Amino acid sequence: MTSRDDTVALSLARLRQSGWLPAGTLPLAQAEDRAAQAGRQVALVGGEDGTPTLAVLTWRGAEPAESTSPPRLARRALSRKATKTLVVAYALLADPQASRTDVTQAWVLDAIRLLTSRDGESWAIPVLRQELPQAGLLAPHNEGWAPGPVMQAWDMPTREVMAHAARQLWEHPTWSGTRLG
Amino acid sequence: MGDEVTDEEEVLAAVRALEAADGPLRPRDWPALADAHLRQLVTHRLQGLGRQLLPVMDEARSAVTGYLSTWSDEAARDLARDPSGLQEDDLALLTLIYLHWEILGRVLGESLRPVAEQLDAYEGSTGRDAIQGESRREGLARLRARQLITVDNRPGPALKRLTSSQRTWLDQNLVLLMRPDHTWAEEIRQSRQAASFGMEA
Repeated sequence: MTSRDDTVALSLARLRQSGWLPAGTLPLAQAEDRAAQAGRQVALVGGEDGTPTLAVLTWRGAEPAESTSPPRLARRALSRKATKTLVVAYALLADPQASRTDVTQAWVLDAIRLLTSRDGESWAIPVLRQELPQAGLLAPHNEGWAPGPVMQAWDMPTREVMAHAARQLWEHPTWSGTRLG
Repeated sequence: MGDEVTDEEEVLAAVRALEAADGPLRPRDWPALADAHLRQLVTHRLQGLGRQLLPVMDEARSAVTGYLSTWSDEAARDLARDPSGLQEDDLALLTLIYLHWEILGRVLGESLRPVAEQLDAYEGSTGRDAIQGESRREGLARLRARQLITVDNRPGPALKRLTSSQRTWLDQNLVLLMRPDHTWAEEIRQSRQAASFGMEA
């Protein structure tokens, strides 16, 4: 392997590790080519309104299908609590009647309380502050969180699954309470 | 031509599965891992991403039972300089957990009290309590999210992805941590210094 090959490989390793990187820090053409040879894809997100363009390492085509027998695919699946929090945060962000660009901790906790009649503070706050930003699904924005680079780079099957989950929440009898205030 | 397309599909399927699987893939389930030529292609594709193919051996270490993918040694060294998202306290917790289970439990065969109790009892060199409360909970959650520990705070599956040279590096770090004045620690420091000069030359 030449030193140029090493640079591209190390760039892709850093991209995989961190979830996203500023596109300008990558040897983009070579990285895209190398990723494609391994069934991956370097997706570019952002870049509008002066925001930096970010590179995200995704799957070429759809993500490998989950298997029902060991080994499990994919191994970095979110915890159950993180998935619940993500669905609520996504439903708030994508709600066509609310047009939000970000969500706050208070809105997410209010929505969980409205939907479940229970307090989600103990499990939703660590997920909002740690797990989802770490996974690149949410990104700190103002006082809350906006869609993260990995969410922005979701493939179509993932978008459809999340849109279906969000629609179910919007149709919940208590969801209208999230649109007040 | 037909065979080439099939081979390419098999190689891509194996690389994608390796990069997504939480455990070893058995060669009998993945043709590109069973065939030496195709396995070489899988190895090459992984290298392009800073990854490598890691054979998993049976207990007698005489036969390969499966394959994992892991960081290449070069990428592992590079990434260790910036442990993305992990804080110093997280690494301290991981070290204590590793020492507790691997060294006290597995290597020295001591009877162990629960790891949470052990963490509570730890007072560190300054006499102050080790990481406690919310900070500990968040640190453990970050380690679990990276599969570095399990839900019951044991060394996690990510540690099974260490190559022999990466495991040697970890063992040497433990010597440097626990016996910094030992001659062995001095030898490790000298050999690392020589290696870093070699890389710069």
